Amino acid sequence: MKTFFRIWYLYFFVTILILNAPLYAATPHEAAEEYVNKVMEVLGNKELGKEAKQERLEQLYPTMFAERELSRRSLGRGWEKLNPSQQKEFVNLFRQVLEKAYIDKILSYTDEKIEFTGTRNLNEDQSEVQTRVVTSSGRVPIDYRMIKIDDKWQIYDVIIENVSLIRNYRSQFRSILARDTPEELLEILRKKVKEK
Amino acid sequence: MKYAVLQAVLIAVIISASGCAHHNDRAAMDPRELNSSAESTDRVPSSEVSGKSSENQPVMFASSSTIERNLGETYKISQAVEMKSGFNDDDWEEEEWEQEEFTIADPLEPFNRAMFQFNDTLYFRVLKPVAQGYSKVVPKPARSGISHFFDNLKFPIRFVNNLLQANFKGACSELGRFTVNTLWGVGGFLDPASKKELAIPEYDADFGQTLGMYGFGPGFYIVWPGFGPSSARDTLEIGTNIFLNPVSYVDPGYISIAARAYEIVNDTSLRIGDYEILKEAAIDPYVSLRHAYIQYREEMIRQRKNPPKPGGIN
Amino acid sequence: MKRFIVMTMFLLLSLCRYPGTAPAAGPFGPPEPFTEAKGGIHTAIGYTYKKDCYENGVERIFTQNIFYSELGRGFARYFELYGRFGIADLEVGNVTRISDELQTSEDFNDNWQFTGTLGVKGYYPLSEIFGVGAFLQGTYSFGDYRDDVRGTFNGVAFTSEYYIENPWDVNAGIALQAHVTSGIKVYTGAYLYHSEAKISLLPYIPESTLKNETRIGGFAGFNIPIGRGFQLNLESQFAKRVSAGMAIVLVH
Repeated sequence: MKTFFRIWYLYFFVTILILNAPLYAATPHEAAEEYVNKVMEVLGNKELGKEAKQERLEQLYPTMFAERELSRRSLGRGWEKLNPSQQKEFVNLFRQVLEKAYIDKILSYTDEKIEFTGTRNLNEDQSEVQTRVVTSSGRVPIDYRMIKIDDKWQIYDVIIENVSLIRNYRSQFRSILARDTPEELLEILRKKVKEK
Repeated sequence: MKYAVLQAVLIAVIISASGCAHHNDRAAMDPRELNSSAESTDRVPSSEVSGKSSENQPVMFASSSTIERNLGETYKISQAVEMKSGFNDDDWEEEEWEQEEFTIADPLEPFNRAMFQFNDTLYFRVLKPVAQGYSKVVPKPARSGISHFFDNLKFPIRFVNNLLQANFKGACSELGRFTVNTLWGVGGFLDPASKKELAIPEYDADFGQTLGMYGFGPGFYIVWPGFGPSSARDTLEIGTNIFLNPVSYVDPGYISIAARAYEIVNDTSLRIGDYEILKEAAIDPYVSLRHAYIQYREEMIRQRKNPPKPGGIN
Repeated sequence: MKRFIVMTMFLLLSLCRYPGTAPAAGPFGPPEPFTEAKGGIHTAIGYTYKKDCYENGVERIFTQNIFYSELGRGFARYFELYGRFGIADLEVGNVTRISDELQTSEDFNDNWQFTGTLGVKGYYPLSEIFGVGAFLQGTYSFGDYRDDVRGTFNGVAFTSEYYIENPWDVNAGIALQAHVTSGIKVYTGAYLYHSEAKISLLPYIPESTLKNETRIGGFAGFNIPIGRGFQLNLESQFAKRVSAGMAIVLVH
């Protein structure tokens, strides 16, 4: 009986460890891997229809990405030209733009494989998780810039073949803000989100 | 060729965004991880990092409320330091470890935008419908095999340019890939050189890159009808690629042209949707593409001049 | 199963009783397929030195050098389909005295023509070490070999074009394989075969068919992993005439 309890305790303990492990995603690499796995789980789930998958991915998005960081850095210096409510709307619209653009491609995922190739620590709170995606036609290096917010590692930039997502958007927002007001920029985004 | 680069960038954007697929190689990764963190401290002395960051952004990311408070300060600093104008007016980087951002002059912007529009129409009206029809007839494994085959044929471009760049390791590697893929890849249709046991790395090299390594800047941005984004320097590459591509020597000439066209259709069929996504995701597709092009090209050249970053490929 | 082994052994032994056998075709490879699972692929490049005796009144010895590229695909565990595409030259010796009236003064020689091979093999492991397998393999030469030969007919000198059209063969056999140390496989077996070629030397020989002289052969070989996924396969098909082949195989 004593042994039974001991085993039972051990089992209990191990279970807790396993269950809690994702919550304490200790390294950026583990966090990135967890996000990838979560997305894969949704995509590989055959019981879910297209809409259900889309819904789940949309729920995952805010947990994976440091949305505000992503938006702020995408605007660069332009960020401070927006007042707080505009910033809030921008974060929201920008998310919709990204989701709308990429969701179909993500859902049509077929045979790509992700290999984690390394981690580069940028500073205490930022890290770059290096991966490469192996497709039938070649391999593409993709780095995820992660930032630690409230003890949680989240993605704030994706660098593909050395092209940074936020820098690319920054170049576009810069050219727009050079001639338009922040309100006009938001209007462009609103239109972009609405158009089919 | 430009198209290939472009398409590589595009496909990458999409795939990463999809963030999909399995992972493996964890065991293989760990040593590299150690390695790379060690090297990164070489590149950016940790004392410097912590010193600077504590100076500028004491508790920058400790919580979302402190972020906002500190942002103002950071921006004031960056604004005070940078008062440039023109294309460089946005050197905004708050991280000292960031690579400098590459820029390119675009004096021909009205012409380039027109050409961008032309290529856009060409893609949607001609290339895409043809590639879609083709992909309905030919299964995907066959199409990616054909794509490998044409890539394998372009070995002389990569080999010669690696030699011109004095990158003998790259030249050897490409020679090895060519040999293995030609002999055991059934003439290049398969890519055994990339499989795990062999893993002979690719060293893609072209003439624009070679010129870049010897200090030639990109000049100005230009969009060629049919070829897509390029620069004054990289335009020279189009000629050498024709010269070094065995397909160009196929006789009679119309077969050579047909083979090129077929290659483009075949490659496009594997990437239908990529350009659409770039367009969909971009607020200003023209600027987005220009930025992606120059970053991709110049960063590649920078990496060739300096040893590649740890953990990365190429 | 025991009966199967006994039969295999009997066949192998019976080979010793037929010293006159002649080999044909390219290497058969180890009976265990290279590809390990369903959907797996292997590729190889190989070389074979092939000698075969053909007979149609007069015995002729065909000698060929074959360079080929091979692609194989596993359709199930232990079951594989493979194809080869290659080039082969052809030399025919021992043709100088075709009949009392007709004689040629030189051997037939011609350069590279394309050949294709298709084969299928299945394997059954008996234990961790031993296993048996069976295969069927056919080869066809796409080209017509031709050579201008000089000769005499009833004492009158002539020069005429000697044609050898589309030599082909079919082989079926069984083999016994053993896994020895460090991934090396050793195998030996016996096979039945049929080979044919059309010849003509107009107007002296109208188009006629040459067939192989013997119908049974034996073969043995080994397969060594040489690192990085590559394997070296060496095989000999033996009898009065010996053929030998080697291939470097890469399993994908």
